[in-house]
Amino acid sequence: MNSARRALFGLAAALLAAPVSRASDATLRPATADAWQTLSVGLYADAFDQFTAAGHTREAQLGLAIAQLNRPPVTPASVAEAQHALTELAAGNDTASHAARYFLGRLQQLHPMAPDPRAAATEYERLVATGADDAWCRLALIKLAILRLTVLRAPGPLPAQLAAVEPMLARTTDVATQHDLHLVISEARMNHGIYDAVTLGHLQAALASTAASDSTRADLLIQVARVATLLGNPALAREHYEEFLHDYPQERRAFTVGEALAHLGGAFPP
Amino acid sequence: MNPQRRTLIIALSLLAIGYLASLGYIIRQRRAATQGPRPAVVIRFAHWQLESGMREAFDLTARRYMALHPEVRVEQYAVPGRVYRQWLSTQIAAGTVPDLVCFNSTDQTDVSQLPRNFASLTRWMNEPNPYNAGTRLAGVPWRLTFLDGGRNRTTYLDQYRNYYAVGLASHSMRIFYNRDLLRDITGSDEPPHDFRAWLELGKKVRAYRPGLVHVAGAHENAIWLMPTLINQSLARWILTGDHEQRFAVSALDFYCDMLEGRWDLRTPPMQAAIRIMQAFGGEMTPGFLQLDRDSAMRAFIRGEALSLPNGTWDYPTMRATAKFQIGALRLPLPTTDDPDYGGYALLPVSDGGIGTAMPFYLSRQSQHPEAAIDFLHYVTSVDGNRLFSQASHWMPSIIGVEIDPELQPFTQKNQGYVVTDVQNGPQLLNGLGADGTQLFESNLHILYSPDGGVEAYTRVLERDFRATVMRDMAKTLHIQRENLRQRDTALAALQFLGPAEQAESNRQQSSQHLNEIHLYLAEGKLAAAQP
Repeated sequence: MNSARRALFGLAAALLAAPVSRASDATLRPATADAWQTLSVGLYADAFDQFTAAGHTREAQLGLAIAQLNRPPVTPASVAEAQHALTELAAGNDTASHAARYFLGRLQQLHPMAPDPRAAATEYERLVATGADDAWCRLALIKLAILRLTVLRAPGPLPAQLAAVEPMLARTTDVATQHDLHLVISEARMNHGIYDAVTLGHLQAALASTAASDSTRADLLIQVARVATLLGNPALAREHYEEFLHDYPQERRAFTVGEALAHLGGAFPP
Repeated sequence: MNPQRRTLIIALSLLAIGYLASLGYIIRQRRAATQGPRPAVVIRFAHWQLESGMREAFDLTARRYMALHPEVRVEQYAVPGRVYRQWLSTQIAAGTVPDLVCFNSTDQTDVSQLPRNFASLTRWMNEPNPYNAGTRLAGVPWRLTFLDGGRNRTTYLDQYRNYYAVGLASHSMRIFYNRDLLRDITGSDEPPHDFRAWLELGKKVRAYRPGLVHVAGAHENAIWLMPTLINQSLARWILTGDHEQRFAVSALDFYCDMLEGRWDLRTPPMQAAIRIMQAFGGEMTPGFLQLDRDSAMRAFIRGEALSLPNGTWDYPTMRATAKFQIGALRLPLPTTDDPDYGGYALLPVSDGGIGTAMPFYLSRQSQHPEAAIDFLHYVTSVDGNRLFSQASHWMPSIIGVEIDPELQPFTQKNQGYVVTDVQNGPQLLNGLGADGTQLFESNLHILYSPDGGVEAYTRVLERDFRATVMRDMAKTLHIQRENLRQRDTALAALQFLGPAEQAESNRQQSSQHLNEIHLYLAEGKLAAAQP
């Protein structure tokens, strides 16, 4: 066979082989997206197998580690294995690395055997310090705030402990993250019975950035109205009660809200 | 031929005739099912509603749907409630679960598993139901065509902030009574309207005929009735635990207050609650905690009891079997000035919020999700839901569908206060978990025994009450923590899919944050309460 014919055969073989190779890749190696889809419905073992088959990309390795966190049986060894994989991935500065750092924090925080909120806070703090302001950094900021509002409160009296979290709002420009920060701060303050102008401000800020279809909106309208009432601002309370009745006439609390509106000038419940 | 041999031959012949008749019937049914064009799509749905007329109502609705869609065959699987869970688990594991599944559970572990097996309906819920074209619900998003806006504990999962089911019917809980017997006893068929008058009626019932019972009691009746009665009787006091100003108190809020010393079993409203339990139990069949729902129903139908606490779902069965007129009254509550039981209610009281029932979920295993949704669209359209409601004698779930005149007296009354509900609110009788339920229930005999009473019952409960609440709370928080951990993974996975899934993940994270802060706040209170 002369060299020209050999080259022609080679070209033909290459042309035939390329689609075959692509087809077998698609058939034998499930897309990473499928594995994430499987993981999103809680089929951890199946997702683990799919990520294993998806190759050695950083995204697949991340998926593998996250699936491993919940893949039964969850044992100290299986959790340690996931932690090791996440630690390796965390070295870097890409999305996979940020997600891995976030999950290292979550692992410490919600560890099935030995939760360590302080270690979790350290991971979150490191991630937030990168200043990346991506999905994982934003989540880390809110989780850090939750810990500082509860188990890792600053020293001092309660109002000062809660106030110490306020500066965290300035650490992000993302509206949704700020919304969630306002939400958790106001929730903590009210749980401790602090119904002051600061609490009202957080509730109003959270409400202002809540989508009309969001399920927390009905709660926020009532909360703003009730705290405004406690602070002696019936006009603000009326506005929010009326908005609730207009937007949620079928809601189970509609009668109660109607009565609260009718008794704005006096004691409630009557 | 001796008589023994003759009897044997007759028995064997009868057996053979029975066998052949059954065989013939099955062959005929099979032939009928396979005749005609083979349907391209088969939709299967499963439920456990075996009440009178229910299977026929489903069949009628399915036939009407198939007449509109000859290419679809709809098959019904009516599985007895006692084995339903096991049956469903087996079907899920085998990959043979029907396309549409009726399911209802308050168990947090069950709820956390729902998205694994059932698909979110949110994208369909935001679109109009095509079968409502030409009605006043034309163009209205599907979710807003339901009486409850498509949202209740079973259809919309707060934890996932998604719609997962649609309710085909609605119900109310009532005390059904024998109208004829009431007239004989009191001279009027008008039932009492408050708790004190209702207790007085009980005295008349017992005086009227020896052995006649005021309320046909059963364990199942008691476990929904007493917490509901107590929650409604104490709503004003319970609302003082609404620290987050939502006009809604959760069981965790309520029991955290107990751990922080805001109340105990000696607190006046709690003592009133125990007095109400004592008085109410005294009106029920003696030994009611050992009786089941069916025996209570039989006692009522036979005229051995004046009344029966029950849901409207059993009304068709009662109506078909009772030889008397049936009336219904709402739970009678203590008046504000009642010295023994009153002073803590918020009146008027709501039935508990508008809610739909019989939730149907779309299986993730369905081969024909669009067709299954189309069938659900039909059953929950104005026409389809009217047909189903009239045939089943269950109340409709869709706005504007007329309630059967016979069912109108049982219509939900929602113009009233509601600060909690039996499912997720404080249950003074049932406690925060299994240990609390056991503590209250296993000692109830002390409340009703002649040498027992409110003081004796309180003394026994308070020995273990605090420790029991703490154990139950620890278990509840542990389950919540596990749910958070698993949900974290699911939401992270969505971040790596398309923009729609990322938006969904971000949306659901807000509720994850709220659940998480509540978990930590409750854990803090539990830790502070440790001796």
